[in-house]
Amino acid sequence: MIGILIFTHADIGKELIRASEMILGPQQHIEFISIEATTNEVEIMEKLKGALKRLGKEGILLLTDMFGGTPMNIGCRFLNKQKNLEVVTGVNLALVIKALTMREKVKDVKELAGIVADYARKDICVASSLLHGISTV
Amino acid sequence: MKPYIWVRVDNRLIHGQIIQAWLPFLNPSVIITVEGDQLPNGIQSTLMRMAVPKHIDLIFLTSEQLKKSWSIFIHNKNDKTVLVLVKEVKIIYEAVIKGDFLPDIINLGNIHALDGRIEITPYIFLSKEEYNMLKEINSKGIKIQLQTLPTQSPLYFEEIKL
Repeated sequence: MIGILIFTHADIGKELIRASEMILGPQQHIEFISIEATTNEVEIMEKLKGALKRLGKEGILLLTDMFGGTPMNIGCRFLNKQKNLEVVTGVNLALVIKALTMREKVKDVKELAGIVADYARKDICVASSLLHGISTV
Repeated sequence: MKPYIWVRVDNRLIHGQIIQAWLPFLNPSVIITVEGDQLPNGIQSTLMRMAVPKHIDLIFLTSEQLKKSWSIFIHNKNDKTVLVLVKEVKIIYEAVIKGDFLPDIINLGNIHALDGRIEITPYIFLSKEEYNMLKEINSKGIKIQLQTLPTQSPLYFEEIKL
């Protein structure tokens, strides 16, 4: 099974997993790494290496929170080292749920990464503009 | 007129705090990053370029290039503010003390805990050697502040003790 690692600032990953399990029930092969402003690089690298080893046997999807942020910067260092690794930025709940539900069907990490990124992007919208002309009463 | 040269020591170089908080605050036209003896590889430099707004020039230098040739890169009179991001205290020490680099201010942003470093603030840890390097820079009249985010009030080097 493709492993999922959510790597973010603060405990976003931990809470996204909790929220996903609230919707889908308990999940396997999904972990998080939180970085704080005070976490040093050596510590982060060690955690990341450990998690990639545990989760990466059949490919791994590394989900980070923001383009250009530290989790993405560090995660991308493994792109040319770890086989079957894809890094996706801008993780949200819809993305995590999609990844969890699609990984049984889509075995190719690159393909899965593309699917979840598209899906997550579409999940973001201004609700009022969708409801334009529709009575909300 | 010489541009205002704002140096930051940050173990993470370009990251969320820089992009989201400091760039809007400082509004630099140029960013120079110095990681150490090496330049970032293809993936790293591409990611950094993509993370920084297009109107800002991004230049990658080695410690040696900053020390010896900084003036080639900081010369344009249209540049009001140049942001120089260095990974370690040693890099800025070499450039200022052994070279002739003259920043207007040095900001200490994120220097993480490692063996031999002592906690100064939750975000700044310094070794005795780094403290002494900064003291020497400070004695040349260069202001050094400890401030991780623009919304925090800065602490000045004179106020800290190791």
